[in-house]
Amino acid sequence: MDSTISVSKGCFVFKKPNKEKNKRKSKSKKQLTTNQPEAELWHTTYIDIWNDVKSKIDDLTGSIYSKFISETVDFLTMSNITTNQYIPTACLLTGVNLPDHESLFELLATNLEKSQPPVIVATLFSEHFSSVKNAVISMVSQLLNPNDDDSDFDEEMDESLNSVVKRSECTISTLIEWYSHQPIGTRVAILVKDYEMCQQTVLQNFILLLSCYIKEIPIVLAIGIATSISNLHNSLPHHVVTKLKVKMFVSEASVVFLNNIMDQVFLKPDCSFYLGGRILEYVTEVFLYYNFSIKQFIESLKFCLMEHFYLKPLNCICVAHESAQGALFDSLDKKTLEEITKLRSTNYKYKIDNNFKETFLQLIGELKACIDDFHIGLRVLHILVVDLPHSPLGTQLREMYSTAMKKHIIDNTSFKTCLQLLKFLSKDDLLAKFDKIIQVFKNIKNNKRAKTAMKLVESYVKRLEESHLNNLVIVEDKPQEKPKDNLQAISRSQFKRKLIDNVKLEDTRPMTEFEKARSETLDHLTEVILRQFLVPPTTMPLNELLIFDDLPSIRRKIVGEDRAAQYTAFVNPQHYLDCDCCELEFTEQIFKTMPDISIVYKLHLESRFDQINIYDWLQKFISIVGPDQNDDDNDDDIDPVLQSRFVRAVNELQHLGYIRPSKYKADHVQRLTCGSC
Amino acid sequence: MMLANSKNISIKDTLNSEFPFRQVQINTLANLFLNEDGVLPPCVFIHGLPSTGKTSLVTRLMFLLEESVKSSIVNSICCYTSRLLFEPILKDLLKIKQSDIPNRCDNFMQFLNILKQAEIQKEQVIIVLDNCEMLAQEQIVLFSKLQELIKSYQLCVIFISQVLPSKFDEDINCIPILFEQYNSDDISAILLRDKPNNWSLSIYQNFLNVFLGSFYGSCRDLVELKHLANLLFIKYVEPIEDGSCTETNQTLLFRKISPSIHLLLNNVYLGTSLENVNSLSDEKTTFEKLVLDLPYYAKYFLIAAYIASFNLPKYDRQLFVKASNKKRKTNRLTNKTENSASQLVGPKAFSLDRLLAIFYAIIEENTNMTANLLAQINTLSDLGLLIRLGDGKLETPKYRCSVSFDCVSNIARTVKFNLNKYLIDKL
Repeated sequence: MDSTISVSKGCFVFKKPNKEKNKRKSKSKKQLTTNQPEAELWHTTYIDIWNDVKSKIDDLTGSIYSKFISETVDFLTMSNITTNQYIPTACLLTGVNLPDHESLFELLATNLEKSQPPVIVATLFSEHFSSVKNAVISMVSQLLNPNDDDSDFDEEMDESLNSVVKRSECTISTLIEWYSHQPIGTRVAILVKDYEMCQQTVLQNFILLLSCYIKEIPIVLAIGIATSISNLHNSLPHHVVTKLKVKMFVSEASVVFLNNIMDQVFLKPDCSFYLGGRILEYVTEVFLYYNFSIKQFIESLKFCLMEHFYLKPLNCICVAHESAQGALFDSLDKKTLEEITKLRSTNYKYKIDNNFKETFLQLIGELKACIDDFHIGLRVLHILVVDLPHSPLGTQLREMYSTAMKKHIIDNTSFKTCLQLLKFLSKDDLLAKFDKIIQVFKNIKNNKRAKTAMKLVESYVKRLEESHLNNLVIVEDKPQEKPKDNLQAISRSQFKRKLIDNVKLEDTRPMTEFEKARSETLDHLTEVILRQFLVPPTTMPLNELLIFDDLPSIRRKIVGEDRAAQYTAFVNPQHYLDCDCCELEFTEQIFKTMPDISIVYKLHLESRFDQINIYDWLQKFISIVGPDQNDDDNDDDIDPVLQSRFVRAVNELQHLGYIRPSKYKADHVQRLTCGSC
Repeated sequence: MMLANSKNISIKDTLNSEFPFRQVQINTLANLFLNEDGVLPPCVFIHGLPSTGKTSLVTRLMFLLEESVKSSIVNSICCYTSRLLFEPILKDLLKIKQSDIPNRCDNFMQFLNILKQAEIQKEQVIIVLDNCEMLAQEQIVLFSKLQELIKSYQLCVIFISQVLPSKFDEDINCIPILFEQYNSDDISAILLRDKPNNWSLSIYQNFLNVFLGSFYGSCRDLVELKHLANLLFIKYVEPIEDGSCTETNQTLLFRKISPSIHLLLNNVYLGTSLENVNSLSDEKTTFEKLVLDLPYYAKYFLIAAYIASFNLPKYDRQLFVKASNKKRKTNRLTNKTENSASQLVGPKAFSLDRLLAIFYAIIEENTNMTANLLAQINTLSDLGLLIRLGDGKLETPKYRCSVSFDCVSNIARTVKFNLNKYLIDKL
């Protein structure tokens, strides 16, 4: 692990680094007056790009959710309340991505408040359902104090002191009275965010209570269910369910969001933050394997962005507008310039000379052009292979992106299978694909290569259209009849190979005109267009400056490994403390200068058994920590200071969950972990 | 005197016409409340199964008695504090506004004092406590003795509950009135009252015969049946409306309606969640689409939890230690015996360590133990798929798997994991 700034860095996911960065941001602002233009530069660049990305993501979420939200809002506002005694209830099946639900419910609440007839919203969380009283109080106080939209429980308590209605007065009867002053047709919507976590009995009574007042106040409910609808039926008894008129609404799966966000925000050439294949794979893996949470996914990308620009003026120059690049480049000091020559992608050929700036800017320009082409090529590839059977290259743009980023995808074996499959396509399918490709090229402006490529594809289309499905191609030079080998081969493997060769030879079924055209155009397309467009930008010089692919530096910050961090802290405290005294030569080494808990931990690792005798342990501890003394001293004399230090360290270990008091032997403790895990 | 008598009889008649098949209960109530001397019983306990007309009948009776008797009807569910129980009663009985209640009324003593001061003894008073099982035990006892405490023979408390009076711990000195469930003829007659206007009686009668024949076995709740009948009748008359069938051809009508009946029978007590039969078949398809979708590691955690819950720890070594592969195969052959004991006993608790160990044994790829990974376990218990046992101490938490075999085997199939191989059903 590289050097870290804070001890806790290994444990926290990414909130902590965020905060740190925030602090730094404010610092850098203060230092504006002193001559530190870079500090300002990275920050503004970061903010610009992030705002751009953020607004795109927000638009996207709005548009993806819009159907779900508008249907729910329609149901809640239109459903007939007066004719029956049921509470109209929308069951929102939102998927298991719990961290995202909050924003979804916020979106729903704001949409409900905007709707006609007016709807006043209260959002209840599982912590409100500790008792019916609590639930009613928080509901009523949210309804009566609409400005108090902070749903946090504690803050509500504080704010309610200033608000018009006191918590003790938040009862249903106050609500009824308040409702009589509202415009006619107003509805009251109650959103229950996390159904599974609510105490079921409280929720049941709460629903029954609401149903008593349905005649006085038109109440509508929306319940967010993370698992499945059967959960509602399993846990609510019949007499409660009969009070509800349930309608189910299924939100889009969060994988759809992921794909959309990737395709439409990050994997577009106009996004000035380019992700490397490994990073992309890692963050999507975290998403798919751990939590399905879009929110955390975006946060981790945000962190990558920050990491990419933080104190790296070169990276900022690369994304800056071309007109500004020159001036910014001049402001760099020598040390930064030297950094450029040390970049791996330049093969260390790049030296500081008079043309340094020009070459640099030229290289960056080439790199950007390459990235643009890469994105075009990627979309073409996506159109070609997206619906092939078994999808050898995956169905998502992001999957192809990460493969193509690492290595030229044409050389990939999966691509070869794709090409084979493509050669089985029917005429109509192939033409449709080519049509789409032409559309892609048409949308691209100011790109010569795209224009020539488009002309090529158009010529393919023409050729395919002219080719007949039934006309056989007369093969002029028939392969001369090969003399039949004698199959009496020596070994089995040779025999097999010969058979395969024979089959290949016999398989020269005459092709139709179309088949020939299809195979040739596809080969040509691969060799000329795709090979040219899909050059991985990671092979270009200076790509580190534009493409963020530094996985090792962010891996632990995105997904914290608490046990591993603890282990490092115990075994090698110098790693975090940065002191001179505890430098290890091998991991088992123990120094007197180490923190007590570290010594105790290392000693407990030495024990071969599950049960550790505390007295032995203490003796070992004293032998390390205690003052150098002769063996003739009486063993029973234990320095109380050392003993208390030892007990404290052992207690800390117990608190951290490494040991616990043994049930069988009074003076033993039980080890709860094995080895390094 | 005569006037009062005739009035009482008219009340009785109105109730009888509005609530059919409740003559016995109406008679008892009339004897208790419609007598001339104005003396009321101290406490009446009305009980019976849901939707047998308990609350609606009492509410109606109170409405009819409004001239002579002061009454207050309180649904105990709304009384989550005692103040919310007493103040609405006072409001109703003293005919005052909430703000006019002289002091906060938080306990029974204050409640009594206010009633006494208002000289409630001089008039007939009835307090109805609906769903009284929600009240605290001592409150029920106190209310049952309210007549004694107030010293008025004109005060009565009516409890309404679905719970039998004998289920309450202490003996409450009261007059029980049982509201029986309607039998199928009663239900048929009651449902017939809801006949849609534009259809003849005979069609609706035929429909009800078909309907009750299928549904009476599984559902006797009047409200539920009413709702289902409304849903189905629209479907039933569809062939008649489009002319493909005559009103008299009952067999054809039955054949056309029976698929819908089958569909609805599976959803009887979820009935209110359906607006019409068509939406049901839509939702059927979405139900099937909705297999529980979990993140990859969470799926493995759930599988591991299931294995940990239904296998004894002593088999773990045999199952997961790679060296004993052969034994596992023989086990797999023998564990086909159905009706396994471990399934009957239900899931057993397991410790976090065991869960993690099994998780690492069954997962193919190498994963580090990260904070996110451990958070998955909490997410699962938040979702109710695992149950966390104990008091939430840091030290060795225990869990129990709470999902069914079908659910887990579906999940296992999505990750191509052979669950059966790891389950030892024999004990």
